[in-house]
This record gives sequence, structure tokens and C-alpha cells, in this order.
Amino acid sequence: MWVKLDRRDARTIAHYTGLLIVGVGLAMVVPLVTALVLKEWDPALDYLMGMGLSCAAGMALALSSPPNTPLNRTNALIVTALAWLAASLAAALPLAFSGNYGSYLDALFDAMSGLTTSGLTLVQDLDHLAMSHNMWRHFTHLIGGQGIVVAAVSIAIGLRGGAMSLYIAEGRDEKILPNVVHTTRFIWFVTAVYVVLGTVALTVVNLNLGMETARSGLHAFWATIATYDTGGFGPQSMNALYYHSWVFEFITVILMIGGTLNFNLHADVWRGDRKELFRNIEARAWGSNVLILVIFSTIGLAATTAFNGVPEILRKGVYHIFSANTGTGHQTLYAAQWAKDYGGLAMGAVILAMAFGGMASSTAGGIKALRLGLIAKGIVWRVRESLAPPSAVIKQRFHHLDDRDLTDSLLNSAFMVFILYMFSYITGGLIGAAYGYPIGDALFESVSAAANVGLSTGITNPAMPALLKIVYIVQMWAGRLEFVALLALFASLAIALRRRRAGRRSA
Amino acid sequence: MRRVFTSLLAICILGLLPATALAAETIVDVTPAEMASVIEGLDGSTVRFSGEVVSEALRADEENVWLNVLGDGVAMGVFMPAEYAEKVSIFGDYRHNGDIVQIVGVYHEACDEHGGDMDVHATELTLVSSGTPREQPPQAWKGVVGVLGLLFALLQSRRFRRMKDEVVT
Repeated sequence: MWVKLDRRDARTIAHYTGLLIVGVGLAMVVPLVTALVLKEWDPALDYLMGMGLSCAAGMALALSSPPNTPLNRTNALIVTALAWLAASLAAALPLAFSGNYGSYLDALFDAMSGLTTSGLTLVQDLDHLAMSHNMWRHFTHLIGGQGIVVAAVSIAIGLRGGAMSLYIAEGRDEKILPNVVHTTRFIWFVTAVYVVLGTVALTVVNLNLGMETARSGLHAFWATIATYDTGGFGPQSMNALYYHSWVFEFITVILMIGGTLNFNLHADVWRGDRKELFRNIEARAWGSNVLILVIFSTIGLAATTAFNGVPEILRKGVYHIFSANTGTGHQTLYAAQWAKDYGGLAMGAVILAMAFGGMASSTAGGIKALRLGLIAKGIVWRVRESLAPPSAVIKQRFHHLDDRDLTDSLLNSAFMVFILYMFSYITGGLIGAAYGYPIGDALFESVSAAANVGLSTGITNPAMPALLKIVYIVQMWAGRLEFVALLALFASLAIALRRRRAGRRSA
Repeated sequence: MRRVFTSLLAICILGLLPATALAAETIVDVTPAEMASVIEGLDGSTVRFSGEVVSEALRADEENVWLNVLGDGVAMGVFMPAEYAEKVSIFGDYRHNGDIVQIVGVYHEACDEHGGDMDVHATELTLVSSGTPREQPPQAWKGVVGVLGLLFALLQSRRFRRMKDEVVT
């Protein structure tokens, strides 16, 4: 049976979506202050306008229902799906007026890419972009990386009535601390530790490169949040290649690993239980993935002979496998080098790394190591069952935070998400190919969008077809929500439309 | 002996002349975008290109720096002795269009010296033109829209608070 939404549900959904839009508007105070401090007057007005429009629209929506209206599971799913689109529509406003985007659609693309921590970009003339706009682009990684709902719940912008429902609907299952507000604050605390340490380390690197102090700090902060939140934006058009520094690459790999680690594992490590890292099925699956893909990538790079010597091959191979698998998307290659220098096998390894993704309950995208681990265990389970006598009851156990039995329900859920991701990867690739892009490049770009990675073969650029921009926007949105919330939204809209049409016919 | 020496000298001169002429011919005019698109056979060639120097000179080692030169929307890392970079006074950023320079150097598709990064090792830098300030006049209407929006939101938030109080009572 399909749950039908009534007018009251629509008001409740509008109320919570409005509050989240107000939250995005208030977050614009960060780039606004940056602009004022750096005397970037026109960008400051962009953010004043963005704040004004977002807060006005958000408050108007929020008034459609009384404060603290209870939020049921279905409505929470729809609010969550809508929140990412609404937040992107709001976040795109100041970018669209910056003069560095060809259209509002391009700005929306970047806002969605920033919030979903994808990192694909349509910005033009990035090397001349105002620092405050760079602050906002990177700040969207921080807001989205933690989860828009997590961000909103932790600053308590009036979501009390539906905090827990929204939190679960956003695809987060950490119950690190008994209270959802405390849990979200723990997530922010872990993030703050990484951001402070990363910013300090990269500031030292930048100062050593001869960058001026304020720029060193800002670049370090942006690189840290873009890496830890597995985003991938950079303040320069050359992305990570701009710094010409292996130390920069090394520090960012550490941050990528921190960003892809499940927050429950962070909590265990924080409590001193380091053994969990080695026993956990997800950590094991992720480690095996990375190791196998690094080997494939190394063999592939050695075969192309574009890169000479083991250190060179390892530096390029390891960096891009980590960047792809954690969903970060920093790259030290030019787009055309993927096909010409990286070659078939290594490029295939990068596509698989992107598709598989990092760990659940982290900022990483993709199918996720936990699901791959469960699917692998499931295959072993079925093989064992087929070899056992008919009367035997075969159980398969796995360890994820505690010892559990693998059930059909868990396995079905993992397979369902796996299939949805694969469907999205292939569909996006075919649409790209239909526009005349080489199938390998089109598949690479599609996987990068749906797995929220951000590596690019160059298809993503302001001149690309508008429909393909929309396809990638939907892929980034769907990938971040792991499909279910978005499918719930589309299904609700379809049912509402059908009811309306039926109502008209009967009238 | 003298005849042998003269003959050897003549051979050397004749041998060197075409080599020098060939070297002069093999300077390839490109753009950073063309280099980034990985042109077949360009690796190891001496190239000449122009572009805007963006952001800053980054220290590579005690004697060398990196300049990032932007042309056709693509920036290319150029490795060079620090004294070359001293000719550049304005770097491109939000407030400036940077100096335009012409670079002659050796193009590496995957530089062995720099971890496989694509780069150019400059042998010559010529300042073509000086950078200029970029005008970004503030557009007041954006401020007006912003203030009106915030005022509207403030009024709505008072209504929201009243609703909240009603719910509590």
C-alpha cells in the first residue's frame, strides 16, 4: 500500500524544508564576513542578497505549520530529499550573481556538487574568483559533508519535533551517544579535530612554499575541508596540482582516510578500542578494496610507460585510488591524461574505486565498503548452504561494531542499493555516450557524479549540454541520499499528481 | 697534422650547423590548453607559449620556483630559476589581471624530476605586458534585495515565535 500524503503532510514538509533553508541562509554569514574582512564589496552584496532571499523564502515556508510539529518517517524521508535540492537552490544564489558562472543552472550544479561533496565544477575563471566565493564553495562541503540535517540539528534551528526522524532519513545510523543532538555534536567534534590539525599542517606546507600568511591559512582551511569532507573543490583551476608538493599530497591522503572512516569507528578509536579497526567487516572490505585497486592501478600505469620509475607510478597511482575511493576527487592530472597517460587498466581501477566508495556513516559516497563486505559474505553463505546437507542450518556471522548474524533482509538491502548505484552509473554513462562522448569517459564521469567523487575526464565543463548537467545534478543528489529518500519523493509526487488528475476527471 | 685538424674542425662545424638550425626549428608554439590535451610527440620538446601568471610564485627548492601560467582557461606549472620569476610583479587574482609572460622551455608530459606531474621547465621568460587592476564595482541593488529579504524574514520570525508561544500555552 502506498502512503498518501494529505494537505497537513505537505505543510509539515514545507515547515521543515523552510527551516533548513533558513539554516543555509544563516550559514552565508561565513562568506559574508570573509568578504567584508577582505574588502570584497561586490561579493559581500552577493551574500547579503543570498541571505535575505534564503531567509525570507525559508521563513515563509516554515510558517506553513506550527513549530515543533511532529514528523513521521515518510515525511522525514521527503523533507530530507527536498532539503538537499532546496539547500542547493539557496546556496546557488550568491554564486550565480558572482559573474563566474554561465547560468543559474551552472551555479546550481556547483551548489549541489558542493553540498553533496562531489567536487565536479562548472565555475569559470576560477583563478580570478573572489576569496569569499571560494570560502562559500568550500564551506558547502563542510555543511553537506556532515549532512545538512546534522548541521541543522546541531545548531538547533527549531528541528526538535523531527530531529531523530530526519537524522535517520538522511542515511545516518550512528547512535554513538544516546541523544541525537549529542551525537551530531560528537560528529562535529571529530570534524573539528581533523580540520584544526589539517589546517595547521597544510598552513605550514603553504608557508614553506612561499605563500603569503593569510592565503596560506585560507588555502589550508579550504583544502582540509574539501579533503576531510571528501569534497574535492580547489581554489585554483589546477586543483591539487597547483601546489607541486608531495607533502601536500601526503597530508591530504591522511585527511581522505579520516574522512572516509565510519563515525562509529572514529568513536571506537576515540574510546581506545583500536582492535575494532582490524575486526570490522567494513574496515576490512575497504582495506582490501584499496589494496587490490592500488595493485591494478600500479600494473596499469607501468604498462602505459607514461610514468617512469616506481616512485612516480606509486605517487600517481596511490593518490588517485585514494582520491577516487574515498570520494574526494582531488586530482594531480589534467583531464586528457586519464585516457592517454593513465590507460585502460589503471583508469578501470579508478572507476571501480569510485563506484565502490568508502565507508558508511562517513562523508564518502559510492556503494560503500560495508555493503560490498556483506555481499561477499552473502556469496560465501550461499555457497556454504549449497554444499551442506539439506537439513543443515547454515549461519553466516560478521563483525560490525558487534558480532551479528547475516540475514536475508540485510543482504537484500545491500543488493538493492548496489543495483540502484549500478543502474545510475550505467544510465548516466549511456546518456553521456549518446551525446557523443567516448563511452569510457562518459562512464567515468557518470560514476564520478553518482558516487559523489568529482574526478573528471573533462566532460564536465560549462559548454556541456544542459540536459547532461541536469542528469549529473540528479545523480549527485540521488547518490548522496543513496536513492531511497529521492525515490520516496518522486513516488509521492507521482501519487499526488495521479490523485489530482483523478479528482479533475471526477469533477 | 694541420690538415687533419682543419678537416676535423670543418666536420665539426658542418655537423653542428644543421643541429643548431634544427634546434631553432623545433621550438613548438603551443597554448597551455594544447599541452594539457596531451599532444602526441610533444613530450620532451622545446615549447613556446604565452599566458597570464596567476596567484603567486611557489618555492620549489633553494634556487627554483613554480609559476602557474594561465592561457585559454588552462593553467600550466612552469618550473624555473627564481631570478626569472623576479620579472613578474603582478599576479592574477580577484583584483588583478596578472602579468602576461612568454615562456620558452622543455615540456614534460610526466616529469621524472617532479613525481610524474605535467610541467614545463623554462629556459627563458619574457615579460610581454604588465598586469592591470580588475574593476568589480559593487551593485547596490543586490544590497537592497538582501536587506528587504532579511526584514521580511525578521517579521516572519516574530510571527513564528508567536505561534511557538501559542503552541506552548
